[in-house]
Amino acid sequence: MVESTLNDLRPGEKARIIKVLAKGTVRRKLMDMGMVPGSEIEVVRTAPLGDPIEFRIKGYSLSMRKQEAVNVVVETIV
Amino acid sequence: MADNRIRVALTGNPNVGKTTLFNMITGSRQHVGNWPGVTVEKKSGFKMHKGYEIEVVDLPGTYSLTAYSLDEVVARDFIVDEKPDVVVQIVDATNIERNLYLTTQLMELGSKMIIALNMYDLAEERGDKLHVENMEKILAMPVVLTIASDNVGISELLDTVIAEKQKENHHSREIGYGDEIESRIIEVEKVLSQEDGLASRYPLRWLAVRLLDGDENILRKISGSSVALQIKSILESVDIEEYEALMADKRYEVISAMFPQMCERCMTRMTTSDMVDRVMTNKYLGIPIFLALMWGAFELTFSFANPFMVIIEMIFVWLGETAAFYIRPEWLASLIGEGIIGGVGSVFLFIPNIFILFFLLSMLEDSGYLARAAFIVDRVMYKIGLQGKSFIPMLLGFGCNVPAIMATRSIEDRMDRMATIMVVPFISCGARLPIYILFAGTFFSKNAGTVIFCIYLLGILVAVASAKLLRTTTLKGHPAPFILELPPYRVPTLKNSIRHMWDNGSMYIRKAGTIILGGSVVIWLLAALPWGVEYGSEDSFIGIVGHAIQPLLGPLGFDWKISVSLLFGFVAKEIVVASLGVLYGVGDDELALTDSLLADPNMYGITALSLMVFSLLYMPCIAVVGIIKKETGSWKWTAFSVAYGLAVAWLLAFIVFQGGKLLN
Amino acid sequence: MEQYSGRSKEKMFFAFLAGFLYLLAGSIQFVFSLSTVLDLFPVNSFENGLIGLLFAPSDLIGSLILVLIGSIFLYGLIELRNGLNEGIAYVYVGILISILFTVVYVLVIAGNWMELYLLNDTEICGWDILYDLRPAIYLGILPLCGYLIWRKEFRAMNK
Ligand SMILES: Nc1nc2c(ncn2[C@@H]2O[C@H](COP(=O)(O)OP(=O)(O)OP(=O)(O)O)[C@@H](O)[C@H]2O)c(=O)[nH]1
Ligand SMILES: [Mg+2]
Repeated sequence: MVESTLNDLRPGEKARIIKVLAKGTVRRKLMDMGMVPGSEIEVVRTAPLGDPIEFRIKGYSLSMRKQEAVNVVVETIV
Repeated sequence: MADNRIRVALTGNPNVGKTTLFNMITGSRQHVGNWPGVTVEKKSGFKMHKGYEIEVVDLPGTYSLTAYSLDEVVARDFIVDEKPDVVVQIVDATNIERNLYLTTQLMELGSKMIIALNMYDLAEERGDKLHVENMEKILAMPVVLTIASDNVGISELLDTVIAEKQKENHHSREIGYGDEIESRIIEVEKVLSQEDGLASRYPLRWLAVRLLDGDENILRKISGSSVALQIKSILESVDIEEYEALMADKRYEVISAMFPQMCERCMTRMTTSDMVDRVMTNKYLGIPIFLALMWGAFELTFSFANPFMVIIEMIFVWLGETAAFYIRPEWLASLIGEGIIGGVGSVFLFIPNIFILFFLLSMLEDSGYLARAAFIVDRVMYKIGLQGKSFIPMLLGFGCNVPAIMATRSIEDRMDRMATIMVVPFISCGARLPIYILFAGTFFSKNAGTVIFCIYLLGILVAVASAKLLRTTTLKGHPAPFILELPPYRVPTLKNSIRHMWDNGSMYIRKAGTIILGGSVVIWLLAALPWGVEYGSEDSFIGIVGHAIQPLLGPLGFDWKISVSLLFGFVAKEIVVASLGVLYGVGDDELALTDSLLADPNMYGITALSLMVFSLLYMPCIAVVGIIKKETGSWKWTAFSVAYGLAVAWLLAFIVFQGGKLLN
Repeated sequence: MEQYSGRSKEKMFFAFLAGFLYLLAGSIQFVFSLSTVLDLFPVNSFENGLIGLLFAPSDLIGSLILVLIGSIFLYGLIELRNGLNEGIAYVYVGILISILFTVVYVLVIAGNWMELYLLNDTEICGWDILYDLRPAIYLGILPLCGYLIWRKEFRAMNK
């Protein structure tokens, strides 16, 4: 198991969230949207221009920029 | 309140079908679309059911009781403060897990609650097995299966609402947050109970939970009370961020524990939507596809409408001739022929384009591509200081700027939102289209399409440049994070698109029958008075007004007739065409407006171009000014928007006209 | 996903054929449109020649759209060849988009025809359906067949 941040994952890779490092409202918003420790998250694809990234979490698609994804620590699942 | 009246709130995550359900229950026609953030205001409607008068309130979607954007504030405030008799949470059956997060927060509030498990057609199609009885048992609240778009389960839902209302009392279900937090909750609760006013309004445990969850809105609510200081000191002694995470965690833990009993085989798998998305957001093909679709929509809006326009034009020319022939006295014939038929007729002409435009926009909204477009262009928007979400109002602006500006409410960041509001008026709305079609068609017949396309493009470019300008000056700062749910693609239904087209298109017709009609009559009067003056001559009132403002617009190549039309265009952009129709006396002879314009020695291609640029950029209409005031809440910003638009319009039209003259 | 692999040979052939035809028609139209715009050749010689044959009046953006559709099909072909089943998505979406544009151009024709009929205009009597016939229209027959054949699979994807 390797620890990394969400932006490092490549499309198709799955991971489990360990920690959300973001602060303030962004952090709350992410949690409200299902980004809590323990959740499984999959990288679906990046946008044509390289940013933002589309993720699949709790059965729906969520997109966010790399600069937010940096603040989510995950462990990859094989 | 009488016993047979029930107030019901429809709440839930964005895009789960709340408004669809609301429309079905109340027979209203509120805006529905397949993207999160369609509804931004609360709307209520009534329904009589089994002797009860049920008031249904449709709310904007929200992911939790913590509100980030204005539309979410509306939703939360209604649920928390207005205390509806029954709260119906609409849950997307294909996405139960995340939807239940809001449920866990609503449960604690202690209101009578019902779950409408909507879109279960899609869940079943996917092969999910939903266990409604288990769900009812676990959540301790009634669960009703619905398909809002097909009118399935609505009357069961209303029955359940009535039954729930009649139940005596209701126990709020609690979530255990673990020893440490629980002890804090009790501590806070104890302090809160010292203030009498609070307990009567909110469940104390709920207040305590929200406070420990870092809800600033609740903190503000109690800030006036006598216990505010005590609470503050408790909150300062704990790590709120830590608590927040623990509590969110606990809620999801509870959900994942109960989830498997509610739904079998509810897991993610490759669906058609994913397949489509793979292509639409492809690294190389995504952007070309986006452009191609836009171009196709553009092509259709202009080409397919032609024959219908020909029919309408023939009708109005005939009406004008008939009026001129049969109606006496002559001034009445002139009022009806030149004033009303000329003015309203020249606006009616463009109904086909407007209908097609709205039809296509509605397809765009229903397909789910709108949110993808935001996803695709976020990178570009970020560069100009906006974010992907700002793109949605901009696209909607092609229909009408007013709802587009309202749609900015779902943008969380105030600066982002202000900048978006300021640039939306540059997006060419449907009402400006008649001007382009008229002038491009008349003066650039062969290249009309290209000219109009360039005008649209210019609007987008000015919007982009203005955004960049604003974000580097008054609204300085970085664009806020872009966190957006991407809804699944759905095939737009013809019924929905036609309904949407009709709702918006008929508004255009109604406008033509009221404001434009009134405006045309006023312009006719101004053109015909003072009594005895030659109709529409320079000595008429309108001639005097026109001459007064003409020096301002002269450098742009406009004579007094165009100047005065542009002046009236402040009321609504269609009036520009309508008043030209009145002034050039369409109804009078067989000549259509296009021919009269061509015959005018003061009109050249370059004047037409300058006029189109000016019309594109100056303040769209009174309604937009009104909505900008309402949404920004500031006269200063409203005035800025109007002045800035005028300045940019004048400058660019000046460059076009003078530049064109130099080149010739 | 296994259920598709048996059929993927057909789809690969289809993607190849459609991709090739669209790309070809698009490129030819593009070159000629560009030359008309830039005035490289006397217009008439082409209008009567190849362009007339292909029914590809000068239309720069239209030609780019053909190229785009062709690329979508070929992209799918490449993915399918590399053993990626997801390549089917490109075939499906290619079919949808090409049909979409076929519909757009058919509607444009219908519009022009109606206008002509209404106006009874002698000036443009020279217009006949061939004048407006675009490659997007006749090429559209191919994806239409594809759609009819694989229509069921579109829906089945959800299961
Ligand atoms: N298949 C299916 N589609 C539905 C159902 N209910 C709603 N929809 C579709 O779901 C989409 C969203 O519907 P809305 O009613 O706008 O959702 P909302 O909850 O009001 O969304 P917001 O106002 O953005 O919060 C629309 O495209 C509807 O046509 C349903 O029961 N079945
Ligand atoms: Mg809604």
